[in-house]
Amino acid sequence: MSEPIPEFVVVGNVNQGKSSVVATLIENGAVPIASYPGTTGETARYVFRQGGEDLFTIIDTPGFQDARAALSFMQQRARSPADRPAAVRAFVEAHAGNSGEQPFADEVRLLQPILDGAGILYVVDASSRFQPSHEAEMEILRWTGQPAMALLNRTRERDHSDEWRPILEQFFNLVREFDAHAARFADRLELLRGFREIRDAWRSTMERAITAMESEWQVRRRKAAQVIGELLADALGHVEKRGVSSDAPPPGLAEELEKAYLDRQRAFEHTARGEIERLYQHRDLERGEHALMLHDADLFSEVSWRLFGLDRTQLMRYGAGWGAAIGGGIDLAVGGASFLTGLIGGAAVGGLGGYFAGKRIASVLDSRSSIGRVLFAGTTGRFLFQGPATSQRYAWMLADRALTHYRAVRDRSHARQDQLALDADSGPVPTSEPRVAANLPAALRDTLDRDLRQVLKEALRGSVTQETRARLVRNLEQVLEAV
Amino acid sequence: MKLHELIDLEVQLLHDEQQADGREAAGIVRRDRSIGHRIATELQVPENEASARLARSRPLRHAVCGHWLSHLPAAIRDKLPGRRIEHGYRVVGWLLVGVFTMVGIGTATTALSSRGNEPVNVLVFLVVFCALQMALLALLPALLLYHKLRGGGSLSWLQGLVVRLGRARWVDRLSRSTGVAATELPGLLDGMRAKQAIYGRVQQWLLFTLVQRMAVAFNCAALLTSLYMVTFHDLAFCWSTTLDLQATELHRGLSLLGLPWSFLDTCAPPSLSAIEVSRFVPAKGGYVHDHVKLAETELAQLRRTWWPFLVTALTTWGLLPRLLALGLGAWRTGAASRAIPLRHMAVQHLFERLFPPAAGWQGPSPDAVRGDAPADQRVAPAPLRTEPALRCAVVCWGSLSSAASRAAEHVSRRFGLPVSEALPAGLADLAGDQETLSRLQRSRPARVVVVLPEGQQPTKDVMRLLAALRDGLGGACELVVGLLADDGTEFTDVESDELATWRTRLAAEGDPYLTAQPMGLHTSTERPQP
Repeated sequence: MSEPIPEFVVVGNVNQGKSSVVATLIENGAVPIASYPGTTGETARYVFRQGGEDLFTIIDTPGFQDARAALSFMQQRARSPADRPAAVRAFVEAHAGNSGEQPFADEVRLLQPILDGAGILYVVDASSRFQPSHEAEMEILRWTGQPAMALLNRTRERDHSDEWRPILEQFFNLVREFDAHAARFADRLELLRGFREIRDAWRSTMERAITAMESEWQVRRRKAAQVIGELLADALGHVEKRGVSSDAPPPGLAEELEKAYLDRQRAFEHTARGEIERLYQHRDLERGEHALMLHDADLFSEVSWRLFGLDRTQLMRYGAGWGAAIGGGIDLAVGGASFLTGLIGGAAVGGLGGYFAGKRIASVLDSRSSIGRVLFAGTTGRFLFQGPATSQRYAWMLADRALTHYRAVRDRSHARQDQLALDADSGPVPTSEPRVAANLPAALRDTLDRDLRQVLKEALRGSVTQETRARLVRNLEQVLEAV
Repeated sequence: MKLHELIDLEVQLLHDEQQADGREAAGIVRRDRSIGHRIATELQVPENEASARLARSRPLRHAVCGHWLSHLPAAIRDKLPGRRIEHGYRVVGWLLVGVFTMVGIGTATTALSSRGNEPVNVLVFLVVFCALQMALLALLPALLLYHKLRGGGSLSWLQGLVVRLGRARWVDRLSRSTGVAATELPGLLDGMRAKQAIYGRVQQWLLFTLVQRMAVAFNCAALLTSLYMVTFHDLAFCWSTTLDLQATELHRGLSLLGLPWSFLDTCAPPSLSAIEVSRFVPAKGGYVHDHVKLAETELAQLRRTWWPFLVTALTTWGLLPRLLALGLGAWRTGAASRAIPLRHMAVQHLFERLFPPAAGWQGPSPDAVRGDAPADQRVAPAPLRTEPALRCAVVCWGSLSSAASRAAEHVSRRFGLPVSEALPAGLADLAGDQETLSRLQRSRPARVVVVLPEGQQPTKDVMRLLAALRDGLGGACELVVGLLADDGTEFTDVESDELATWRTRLAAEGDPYLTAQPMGLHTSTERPQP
């Protein structure tokens, strides 16, 4: 007969954030969480599976409602310490049929899995003070004789952790702080590592689970790089066309074309964001309506141009670098006869171009233009078109928005029910400047700049090749690891 | 993957993506999960490793997509248009082969026909079947190089044309014949166009191969027609031109042309004397061979030596290069198909449905575990009485019991009433609650303020006390619940949502004299709110 898988039951007083802890651990924003007590009405078992095999279970419970009375019941049936586990069992059996408002219905639900052998995760809200009812809860849990660990969660700014810690240490071997609303992947792993300590027999299974989670995390990063890579290649390479029947384009056609072009860019970004959110299990992420929320700042708004992408100095440096490279090439081509004029001139033009780069992404052109003839060789009829993008500044802004969104989604706890805000620290303050790209390690930023330039260059020739896309995705993987 | 499989893959993925948010979404997930199990068994890929292996291995991605298509339910498979489109492509190909066969026959017949008394002019034959075809052949690598430098996309104009045509009215008829729903075809074509970077090379080589088939058909037909003409007609060959071309120059040119098969005597270029005796001048109405002293039969024999050379030239410079190009096209089409990365978003979604993340959570639906929300049973709230002599008692819950006197003073200041007694409740011993209740029943205060520490929830424990107070003190006694944050020296109000939680819970009791009140000293006695 196979060994039962480790089970951990999350218990505590009502409204202590148990479901928030569970939602964060199992990456499921759909776990019912609300500020009113009794949001969790039934015991819920969440099984972590790897390749069809169940590895461990986390059980969410309704929470203690009347621990003092429950303990009193048990105390009357335990004449000696040896009787205590039996007293707990007798309590559960005596009230097993109770439901709803009947006494101890919730206590029975939370104690039953413990009596069945589950390890205990006792959650307390460190923003509340210790109460005698808490002591009754801990005493009951101690009476069950099951291995236990205490989690200090915080649902508010108030912090009474110092008061709680010495009390919890009297009842539990392991006491950990875990802010369910701010926990990132590393925090979750750290907590799961704590699970290994609860019972030695569960150690190897928990280690396998942790390895599986780490592996899954890497797969997600790889897929996210693919999504962002495709966004950049598709959006920057996109061309919007409108046919022209007569020699003179009808009035308003250029504006209509530009609107369609910008809408398509927004659609590319929207799709990519949805993919990233889906990858990280944030399926119904609520989006705010507040104008200052950077997440919702329109792709082409002033806020986006100001806050995303590289800063002017960086743009100037890259512009100067590429200008010098092109100018230097001309110098070489004329055998140095230009006396480095190309290099110096190229650097100056490129640098100034980068510094004063405007917000034009791509011009509206006629099919008879030189770019039109290259892009649509063989296409008959006259038309106006906009795209592909030619602005390096825009390429960086798009990349930066994607990176900022990726980081915020990746690091967002599933217990959070507020709107997604993007800022430097993924916190709730929406006014600080993000600039994830600007703060990348220089080597990674240089690589990404090269890739973006290549994308822009190839887009102007008609399409971005698979090789360039693959290289962009490979490099983005490293970037995502660094952000 | 074969052409029809690639088409089917894109069509079905497009269909599935359109249903991703619809009613069929769950069915699609179940279907693909079931297929995923079968594929894992057939390809011997452990499901927990599938995702990582798919990310690394392109052949595996192709194999999985191929198996997925083959395992789709027959009802879906039968509707997929891949085989019909591939069949259509073949039919179009054979039609074009037929057309170019006819063109080849016609061209060769024309080139080998005499005009009146003028024999067959070999220069026409050589220009049409060798020079022109060599020039076209030379353009091929130039074209391929051009597209390579441009980075593909050579057929985007063609696809654009198809998209425009696809939006025409006859799309209905076409879509019915190909099995693609009318509404899907433009989307499919647009989608294929958007995937130019993925499928561009396959499309390019398919077109290339089609063109080579046409050229092979043309050359085969020309070759067979030439042999027929030679066999069943007595052809007399000549060369004739207005240009200042000498027999020696033509001989040099023909020798160069025949270099590849110079080791074959029977097909060698005609000798200089044969060339000289073959010059025809229409103005004179005959051959020009004044200096050649040969009998007429010998001259005729010399003039017949042209045909093996012409046929070999056609074979070497017309047919063979096209056969090689056809082989190259077939090989490159296959290679380009195999090189398709198959990692675009729709395929990634498919892989996730087939092999869900190796590690993940499973649990009940939120509705299955959600508790009952507090009942919204509002009653008209009674205002708190303000008589100065009102007798008021305080019950301190839990940890506030140790600060009962401070709490009593705070309550007194908060409500502007004297507090007659401050009693504990919510301590470890349940008997303490009973003692407090007994004392209050004796003193019969008009108002009891139950002060709770910050964070205290409306548990059954507290609600039991409130119910006991109501039962023991009668329906007219004001029961006021207040939450206090204690920093050890003074009390402050708690956050508004904590009070709101209590108000919601107490409103469900339907008791107009049971209220939750803010406890900050700046707060005026307000009208109770349920």
